Amino acid sequence: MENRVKQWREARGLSQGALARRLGVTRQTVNAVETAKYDPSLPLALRMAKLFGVAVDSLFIDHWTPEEEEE
Amino acid sequence: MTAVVGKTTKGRQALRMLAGAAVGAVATIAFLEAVGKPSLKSGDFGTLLALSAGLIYALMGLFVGLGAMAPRQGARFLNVEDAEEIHEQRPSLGSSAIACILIGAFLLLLALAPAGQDADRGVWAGAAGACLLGAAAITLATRRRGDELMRQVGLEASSLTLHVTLAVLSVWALLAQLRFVEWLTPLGLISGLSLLYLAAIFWVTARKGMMKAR
Repeated sequence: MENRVKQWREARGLSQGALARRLGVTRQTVNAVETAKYDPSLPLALRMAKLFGVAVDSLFIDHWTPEEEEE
Repeated sequence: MTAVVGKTTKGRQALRMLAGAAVGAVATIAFLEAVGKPSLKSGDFGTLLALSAGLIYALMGLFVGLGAMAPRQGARFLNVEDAEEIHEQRPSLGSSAIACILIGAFLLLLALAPAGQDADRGVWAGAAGACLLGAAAITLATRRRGDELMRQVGLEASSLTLHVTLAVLSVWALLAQLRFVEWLTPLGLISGLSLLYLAAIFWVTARKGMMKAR
């Protein structure tokens, strides 16, 4: 999933290792999320958003839009 | 600049793979010369598979273990950013290395164990059983230590292994039932499964971009 984790991490002056330590995951996990190879669990996504002080949907970009229901 | 960095990274990755393959090949030949050949029954597919799987697991465990013990050197051949990352991952790397070595030893012991009514069968069974119990105990004790990505990799690899195994065994069962081929020996089955699971782990980690040199 497209995301802005790298941008927010760099804006906060954190290395991948530092972010991983604060989130309680491995650097590989942070790297896989940033490169959009792995979509984090909901708890991890919430923790990331909380740590950066942003909403989850400004961190993870979903282009899906609901279809209009026909009457 | 980016292209140069990309080339260097790819070169490092290729060099690591080549070095790993070379060490693996030399170790296999040396092992077969030293202890394997006298025990090998010609045409025994199960024993050959167990020897190969056992050596792969044991060597992999040995490399990861050495890397975990000497992080600065380990950072050169393990796919990590730096020695600090090995320090952070030391507990899980260490236990994975020991589990891999024990699985390798289990398979090698099974492959080399004398068949028939040998008086030492109890010793072989005890040694192989101890390796199996040790690997199972480590896996159970550390199953919560890995983070969510590693758990996901494990789940996906297990699922992939099950599906491939079902497909392979279905075809094999069909051919064996119609007497085209022999049915698998227990040793061939467990060795094949171990290799399939390892291949599945590599496949899943590669798809998640975790095999790329960092």
